[in-house]
Amino acid sequence: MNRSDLKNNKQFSEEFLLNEIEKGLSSIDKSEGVYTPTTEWFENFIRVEQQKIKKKLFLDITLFTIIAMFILSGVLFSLYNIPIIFITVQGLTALFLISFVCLESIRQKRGVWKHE
Amino acid sequence: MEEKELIQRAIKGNNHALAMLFQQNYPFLVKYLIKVTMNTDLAEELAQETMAKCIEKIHLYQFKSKFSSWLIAIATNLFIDQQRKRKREKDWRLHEEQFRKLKWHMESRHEEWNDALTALGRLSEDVRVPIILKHYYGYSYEEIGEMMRISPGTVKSRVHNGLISLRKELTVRDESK
Repeated sequence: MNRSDLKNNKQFSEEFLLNEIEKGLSSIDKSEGVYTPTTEWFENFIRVEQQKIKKKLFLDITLFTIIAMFILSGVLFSLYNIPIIFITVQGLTALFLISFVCLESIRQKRGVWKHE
Repeated sequence: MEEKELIQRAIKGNNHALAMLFQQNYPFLVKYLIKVTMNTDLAEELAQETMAKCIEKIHLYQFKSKFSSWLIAIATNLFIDQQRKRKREKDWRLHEEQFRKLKWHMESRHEEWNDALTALGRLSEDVRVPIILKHYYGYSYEEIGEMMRISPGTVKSRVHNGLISLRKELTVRDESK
């Protein structure tokens, strides 16, 4: 069967195509161009990455604590000195949460209807 | 030492066991990444990022799949995320240059570089990755869906449409010869 026959025969054409893809990709597997480092190199790489993870965790916790303290001091200040702002902020937050939950549930229901 | 034992030790914090696991799977991982990126430099860069992610997440490994499949899933996600970030600044000339470099590298080693590989390299990564995972590595649509965080139906349609595009591209190339 020549190439023009392959084009006319859809089933075989797909088989031919998949075979060509496999042949091409397996040539990448056969090539010896990938250099694998030693176990020591990998151990050193792991050590360096673990240090980076620890450093990142420390920075994240510090940032979180600073932001939390900032928000908390603002809330406490408004509660004891300007209660009207405290009440307004609490009210707005509750309103925002309720409307967000409602909108999300409506959006999800619409999504379900569309898929049905 | 068996792979399962190495993983168990690595989860308990044994760096030597994790290093051995990486060393055993490194060529497989890099070659997978060369196939999906069509770029040797990017493949090595992504392989290191994959290992870094693996160090962070090794305690979450649940022995449901082979370690190499787990690495492939992490690498695929990293590659897709990176491509999304780079989409705006994508330099097609650079992509083309890297693609030619890989082709030249293969041909200089007398390895076969066929039209199917060229056509595969011209496909977008969203389509190329599922085709390679399905028809070269033999993963199911469900497994690929989990790896790429998309539904199995989407994977199926991407593979189907990708094969149609490849067939068209190869037919055009064949006729122009």
